[in-house]
Amino acid sequence: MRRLAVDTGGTFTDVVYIDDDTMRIIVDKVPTTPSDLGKGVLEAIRKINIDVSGVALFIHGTTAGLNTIAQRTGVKVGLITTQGFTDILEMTKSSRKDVYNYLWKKPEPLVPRYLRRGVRERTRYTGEITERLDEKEVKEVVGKLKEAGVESIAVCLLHSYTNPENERKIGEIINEVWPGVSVSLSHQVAREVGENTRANTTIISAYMGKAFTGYVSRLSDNLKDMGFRGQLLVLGPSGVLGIEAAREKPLCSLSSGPVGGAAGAAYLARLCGVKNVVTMDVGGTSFDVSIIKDGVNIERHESELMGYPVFNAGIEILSIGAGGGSIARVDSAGLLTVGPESAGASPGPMAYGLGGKEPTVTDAALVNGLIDPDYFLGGEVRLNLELATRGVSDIADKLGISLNKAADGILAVARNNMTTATIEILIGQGYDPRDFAIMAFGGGGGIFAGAIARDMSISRVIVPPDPGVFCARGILTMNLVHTYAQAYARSMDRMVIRELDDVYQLMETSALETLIAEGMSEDKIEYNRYLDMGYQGQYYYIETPVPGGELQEGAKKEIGGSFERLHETRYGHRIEAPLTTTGVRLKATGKIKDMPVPEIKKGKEISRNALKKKRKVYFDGSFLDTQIYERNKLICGNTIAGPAIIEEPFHTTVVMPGQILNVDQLGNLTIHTGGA
Amino acid sequence: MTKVDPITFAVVRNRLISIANGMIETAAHCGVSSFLSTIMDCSFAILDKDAGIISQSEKGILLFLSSSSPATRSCIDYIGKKNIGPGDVIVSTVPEFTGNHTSDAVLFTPIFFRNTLFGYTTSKAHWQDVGAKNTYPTDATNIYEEGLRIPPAKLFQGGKLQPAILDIIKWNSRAPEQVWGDIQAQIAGCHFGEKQVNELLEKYGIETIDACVEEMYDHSERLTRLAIEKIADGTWIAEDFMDSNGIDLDTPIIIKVAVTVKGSNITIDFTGSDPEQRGPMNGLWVTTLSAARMAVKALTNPELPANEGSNRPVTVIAPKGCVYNAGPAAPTFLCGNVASTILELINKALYAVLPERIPASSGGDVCGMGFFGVDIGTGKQWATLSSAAIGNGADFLSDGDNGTVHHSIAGSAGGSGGSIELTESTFPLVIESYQLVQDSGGAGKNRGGLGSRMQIRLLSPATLFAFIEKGKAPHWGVDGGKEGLRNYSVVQPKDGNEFEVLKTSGMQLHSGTIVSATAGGGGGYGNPLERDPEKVRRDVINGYISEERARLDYGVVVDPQSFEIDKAATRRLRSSLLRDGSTAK
Repeated sequence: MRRLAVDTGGTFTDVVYIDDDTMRIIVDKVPTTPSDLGKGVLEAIRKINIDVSGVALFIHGTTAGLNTIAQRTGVKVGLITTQGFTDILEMTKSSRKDVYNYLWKKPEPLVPRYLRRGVRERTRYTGEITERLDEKEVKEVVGKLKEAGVESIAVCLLHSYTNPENERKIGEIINEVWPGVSVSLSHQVAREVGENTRANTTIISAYMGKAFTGYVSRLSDNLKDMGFRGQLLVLGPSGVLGIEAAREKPLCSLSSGPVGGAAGAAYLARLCGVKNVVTMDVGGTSFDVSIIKDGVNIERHESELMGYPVFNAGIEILSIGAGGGSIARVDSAGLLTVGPESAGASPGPMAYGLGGKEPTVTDAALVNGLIDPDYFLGGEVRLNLELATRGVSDIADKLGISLNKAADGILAVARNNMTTATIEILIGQGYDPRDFAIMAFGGGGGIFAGAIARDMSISRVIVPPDPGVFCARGILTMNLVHTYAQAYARSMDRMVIRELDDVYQLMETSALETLIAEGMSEDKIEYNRYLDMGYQGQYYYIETPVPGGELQEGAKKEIGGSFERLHETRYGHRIEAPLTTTGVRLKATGKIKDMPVPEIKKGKEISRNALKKKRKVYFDGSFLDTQIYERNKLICGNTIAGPAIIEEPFHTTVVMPGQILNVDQLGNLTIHTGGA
Repeated sequence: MTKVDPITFAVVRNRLISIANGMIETAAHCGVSSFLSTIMDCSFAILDKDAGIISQSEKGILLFLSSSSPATRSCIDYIGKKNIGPGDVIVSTVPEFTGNHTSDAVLFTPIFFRNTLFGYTTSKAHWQDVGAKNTYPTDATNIYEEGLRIPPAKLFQGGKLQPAILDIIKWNSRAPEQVWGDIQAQIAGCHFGEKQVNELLEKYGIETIDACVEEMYDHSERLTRLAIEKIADGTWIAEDFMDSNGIDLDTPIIIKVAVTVKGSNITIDFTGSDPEQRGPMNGLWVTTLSAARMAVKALTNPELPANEGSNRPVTVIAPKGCVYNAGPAAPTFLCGNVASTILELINKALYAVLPERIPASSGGDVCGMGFFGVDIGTGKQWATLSSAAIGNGADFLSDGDNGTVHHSIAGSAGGSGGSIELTESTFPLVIESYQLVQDSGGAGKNRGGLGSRMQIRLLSPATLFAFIEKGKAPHWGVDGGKEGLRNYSVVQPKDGNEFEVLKTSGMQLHSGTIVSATAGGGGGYGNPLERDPEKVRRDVINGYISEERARLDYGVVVDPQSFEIDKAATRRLRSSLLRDGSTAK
């Protein structure tokens, strides 16, 4: 099978092509084209010059949806909700973020107040409808929204997760009086408890839906024009999905590239027999970190998107503003700060010579010899050392220290921000960093990972093949995944197991249909069932595994037992209280044929042309003579002692003094830090 | 003392902060009452061996946060440091020690590293019921009516549960199971912290961590002093009042502060405030101290994590026997409201010299009210807080936030607990509506944030309690900005006339009664006649202000049909209003 992946990032659009039969792999990147993202995608494909008609699978990760929200270019959305609750968007999540800052402000709601309309109706949490809809009133409200020029209507009624009848009816009335307008119903977008999060999720879906589906359709047409006849899949939050499903749930596209990297890392970790990995993706503007435990990506159900809470189940990624483009400044109290502001791709670091006026992490790395000005992006971009030096020396003057100390300080502060974020996500899950290996990728992963590992007492860093385009490669390892969730509030002792079984059966039927339509065969489909459970009174739940197949009465005891064990492991105690459930979840996976990972040549000796040159690199306070290697010339079995630098066109790996690097059969570079 | 390298320092410092955050998350995740899980009426912190504050969770009740150090210290002093050993869990609900009312229990565990005391992980959490004369007594006249006071006692000794202590707690609560469930959650949070800190000690060694902690304090102190130095030297005073003490409902309580800035030191002096009250609106020294420190922190380095160091430049004076430092027998159930006033009283005093850090008055209070009773459907004891969200004051940069929580509880979800759906599915009540209140934000060049109104219909007989402040005291504006709407609640019996309530205790309500809680808005900033007419027009379109107030307060004439601004009429109106000075200061 021939596979193609294009991952559009903030700075670059990466492309990876793999032919399973010949094991030929092509990787490349082009600048992202923000005004028309599709242009960059097509350019990337053209650049690698392959026969598109032979490609069976094209998987695309895009920020098209995300950009729509970030740049506020979505459609005008109207919200219909239960009368008396049109302000829930502004209120019910009322805690403040920057807790001591009196001047902190909440984000503006995505739908202004005059476009939020209430209708008389009421559904109780039990599902009982205590007030029927007044059709006439709904029609009037729709008319008013139409008059106000909305292009899309989001509907979120109280308790619609338990009985969506009124919401569904509103959907029908809208279709009747205004056929063709786009409608998002909250119980279809996210059938979960919590009106504020559900409303925001529905609104975001309505807001970005048009731009996203338009983008996908145009891309699909353009690909056809190029001769592509295979299947187009879109990257979702924990797997890939067909474009029909993506059009229906545009929200799923909001997790872009970093998810591909996390998934690819898990795939590779399983191949290498590494159980616990923390992934570090260092790009131009952001640092993305995720956890792999026992070979599986850690997922979450709720997240925050630019300050708005959303239900969007998928791989958990923590993203902070730290990357090659992060800007270094000295504040009024003489404190050096790096990021979160980034110089982006334009003007970019000062060394780009495109008018950047403030020094960045990349400039600091250049000044201290960590990167080669003539081999940045494989030599496509020439870096100007003089400009970088000018910027960093400005910082040095303000701090009253030497140029190289300042550059080292910039790198250290950036690295520390990364370390803190990593520790936070690990500790948040109750994990000990020392039980993990780091997998580093993105343009700058290898520059920092060895030092981060040293700071965190992590013993091993793995730099996978093609780290500079690893997210795009990772996308190609992902399976088709569809997740389903439904609020399900029951007390465990009164829960009817048949009813629960029916809910799973329905979900599985729907999943099966979708996956078959996406070309999956039934024997390649796997279901994972979960029940959100807690002790009575608890608000937070623990996702508890549920056995597959037809559920028998005895399953209750089994599920309850699993929950109590999980609770005890996580929090250290059990509670003498009845058990309750809050939600049912299903993850349906359609297995795409495993992506092969080619093995590289074996041997002991480092080939002579692998050693490119020597240069002076600044480590921990002084310049050391450092060997520079070309990665693609290294073979399995090679061992290199730090200080050393391994270069490849889109990535640089730094081996700190005292660290040892090995090359394995799959071409991974493994740095042993000597720690823990 | 070992000198730490800056990177180890940064790593350890951030780790200690994130551990504190992990502690509160853990507790909220296993809490069984809405107070702990959704409202997050709690706080968690890591203390050094002298009970100085190393780091604290950034969620929860900020006023608790800053008081966890002196509160824990007084409990340690009571028990005696020597008598505390590994595996002990100590608990107390004595206001004199905890700085809070009897419902807010302090619970802490020592952190021993290889048999050496390193410090403590400590918590405060609101227990649903501690057996006061009613669940939330707002009219107690002495401490003995306010429920169980557990002197600092070991609930666990050497890892072993002391059943007698637990029994005393359970036998004195109307909701024993919820309280025990939440205690276990508090312990889980503290143990989480203890374990994580131990790993840190294991990795870096106790000397390095001690050195890091010392540097954390010094670093925070340096930055706090730098910020104080930028404030003009002098004494800045303010006076305000609290509505009532809960018993003498028509008598305001005068509060005064004098803030003296001298170089890098700041003194907050409450001398001149009214004496201790006979009702439960009495402040406790521990919380007065902490609230004043928190105010300074918010005005100097809000972005810095809080620790002992930022407290060093701050001196607090509150004479014994005044409303901010009541004696041990005084009723103190509403001490939280008293402490909340400190933040904005200090703001009022310092606005003259720190206008770029200080907004106008917010709704000013947590707008607390709630219910308890036995659910006729399930036979279970229930209790909840149902406060509506207040508006924030406007500042020199922008309008105040609509529908938010008071600064004193900024990390908490407030009484609405974050979700209408969840509230309705947990308690026997229906929320009929929850909306922003038009015209509730103080008019100004920048408008105060809007308050909100929550209408609640009871599905079961219940007892109402309310402890609303700022129902009379003004939500002041700054620099010519106007006042925001006051706070109040209204009870509408099923048959009978509605009446207003600010503070009440033990009021029996029938099923079907409707209670509407109105949380007021924030004050405005600047002369409303200087507000951009386009912004006024948008506020009218969005219904944040009425077309009438647009005319009267802002001098902007907006056509109610087309929403167009009548420019000529606006010009005329604004110049005549300016002439009269009816709006401007």
